[in-house]
Amino acid sequence: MQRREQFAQIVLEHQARLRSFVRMLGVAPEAVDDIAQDTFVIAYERWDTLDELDNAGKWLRGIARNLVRNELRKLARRKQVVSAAMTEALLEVHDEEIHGIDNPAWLAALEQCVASLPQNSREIVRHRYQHDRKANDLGEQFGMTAEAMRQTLLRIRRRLRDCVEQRMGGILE
Amino acid sequence: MNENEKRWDNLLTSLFDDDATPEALEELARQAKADSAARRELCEQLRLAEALRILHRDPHEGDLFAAALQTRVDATEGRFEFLHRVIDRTEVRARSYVVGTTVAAGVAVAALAATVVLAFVLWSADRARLAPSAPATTQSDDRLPLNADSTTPFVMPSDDSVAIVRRAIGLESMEMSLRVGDALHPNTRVDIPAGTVQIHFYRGALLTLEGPGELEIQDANNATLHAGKAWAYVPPPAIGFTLHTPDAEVVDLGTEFGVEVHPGERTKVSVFEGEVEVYEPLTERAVESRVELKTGEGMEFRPAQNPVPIAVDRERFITDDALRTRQEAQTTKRFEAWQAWSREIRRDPRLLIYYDFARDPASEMSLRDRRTLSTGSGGGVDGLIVGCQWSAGRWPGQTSLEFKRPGDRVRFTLPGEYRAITLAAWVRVDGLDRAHSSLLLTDGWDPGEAHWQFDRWGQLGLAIEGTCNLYTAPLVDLTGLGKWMHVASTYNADTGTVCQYFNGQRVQKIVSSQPAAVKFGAAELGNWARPIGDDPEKYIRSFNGRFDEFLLFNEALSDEEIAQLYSIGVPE
Repeated sequence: MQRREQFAQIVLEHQARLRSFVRMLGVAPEAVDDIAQDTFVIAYERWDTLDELDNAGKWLRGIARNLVRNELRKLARRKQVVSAAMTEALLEVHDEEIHGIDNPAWLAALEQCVASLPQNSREIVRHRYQHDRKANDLGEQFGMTAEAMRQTLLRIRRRLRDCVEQRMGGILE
Repeated sequence: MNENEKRWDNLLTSLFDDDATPEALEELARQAKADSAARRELCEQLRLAEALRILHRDPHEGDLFAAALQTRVDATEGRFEFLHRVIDRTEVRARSYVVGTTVAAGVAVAALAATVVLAFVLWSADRARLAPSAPATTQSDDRLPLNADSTTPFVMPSDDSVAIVRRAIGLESMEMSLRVGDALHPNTRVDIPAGTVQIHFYRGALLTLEGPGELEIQDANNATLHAGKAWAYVPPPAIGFTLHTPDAEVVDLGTEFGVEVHPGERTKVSVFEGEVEVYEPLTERAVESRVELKTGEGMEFRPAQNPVPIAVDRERFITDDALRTRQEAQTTKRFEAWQAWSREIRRDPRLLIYYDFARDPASEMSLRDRRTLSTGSGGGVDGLIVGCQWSAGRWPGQTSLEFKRPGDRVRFTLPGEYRAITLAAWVRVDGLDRAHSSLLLTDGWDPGEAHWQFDRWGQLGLAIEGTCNLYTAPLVDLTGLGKWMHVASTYNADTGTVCQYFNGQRVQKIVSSQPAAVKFGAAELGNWARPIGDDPEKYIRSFNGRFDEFLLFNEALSDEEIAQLYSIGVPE
């Protein structure tokens, strides 16, 4: 059936981006997948409200925002958002303010930027994100104080963000 | 950094990399509510953190997600299979074969590669879907036609070519001309309306096709002549070389024979020297139909008729000697045309630097700027040669500079700021050993400074600090090494447009959202006066190859002008 095929296509294309977006709303990492799943289930039920496939990203994000907004108190109770107040603020961010949100090349650009980091930084990033480790035991491993490690991670992330922005070269249709 | 910024940084790091206290979270929320810039940064950081997690996790995490989703939707719907397509494992595995094997030693992309498979699949699926439906705008991302699957920069080094073009004469009328040194792949058509092309098969056979002619290369020892005239020289290692034609299958057992195919009418086979066996096509070389021809014997084959002996006339086919003479004449003619162009271009007022890499006996260490300058306008921007050796250039009798050792470089200083530039060069890449191979790198990396280089995947990159950092699809693969190529990049700060070209064709066009003027100052060709850094892998960017021409204009040349730079400068 066409609806199912199109839905499958949308899931395949958007799932990584949508999870990234849900996280951006301040949802706790452990709960991101659940919220993303909920979003897709709602999307499937309300499939006819999608006007055209090209707008799927924006449409999915609208569903996710509404979901999080409506369930905020429940999510906060279950500690599924990092902070209710922070999520309230983040819900106000517009699509246009999020650089490259609908550009699938964003993830690939990030990947290339990570690959072009100096060896040491690359290792730090790998250890931090592969095993979700905290700053103090990472610090121990790399011979830094927890504080220095925190600063380093922040610096690396900022650098990656700048690198991705430059790689995207501005406006890419 | 002031107190507030430090405090903000601390809040961010406590959230991302540590255990944030409820008070810290409250304050983060307060800041995010009050300050839109802070809110944006918080968003970006959260998004980045999740994306980094995705990149470093199990590649099948996406599969698990889709599978769990399937179960849930299943429960609401009652039955199904469509999401099997979503998690089609063969698709994921096929793609992983391309991405998972990393590109060159020493890059820790290997650590990421396996975990990046799914992201790549999703990304390329996205890309494939967006491409056809993307609206035509003034911005576009043109792809090089030869590299159809250029959705990814990660290409396994491999080469399945079976032959190489040895000579190419009189092929200018063709749209995609063959060049001497071009590698030919299996199942390739070589159709020429006129002129002559000589193909050297890797098994050793040498086939000369005269236009108009239609040839198809099957593999390293098989070809099909659909129409036209060709002769083959088959030395011992290539014995068994087979030329298929509509009316006859010709298997060479040693040395030389000629074939003329008139499709629908007849095929003529003449043996100049040695021996061939001719079989009826599509009979799996049935012995009954075999005809043996020896030196001086010829035969004409017609469909549904008995073969008829014919006289052998070597004169009907161009000899290798004659070919060589014609090739040399052609090259000489092109060289003279190029020389005339060179005399003209040096007077172009838009030129900032023109290096023709002609050795100056009066000054071995100096690379002369050949521009014709009016008196009183100051001297040219000569380059200082360090380490490089003079070598053969792309024109016979002309020189180029070879960059081989890590210290080789040409240094120059170009003052001023420019609203538009064109960088254009004839180079030969002998290897992509570094993470980056410099074409032109300014000493520093201040805003507005330009870096022009290849990365290790053969992608051409133009980076202008604060404005862009763009890479094309891979342009240099294994078969491109050792061949002269033309690369060019243009930039216009008023429109923000950046274009990149390969052998005269535009392969990329992007608009930057932060255009600014460009400057060079102290810079190097073929290397980088590297800053003190902790990572030699990143900072050694010495070029491995030769430079034969370098032009720097203070204007962004048009597509046509770049195409002309290529066509006047290509040696064949």
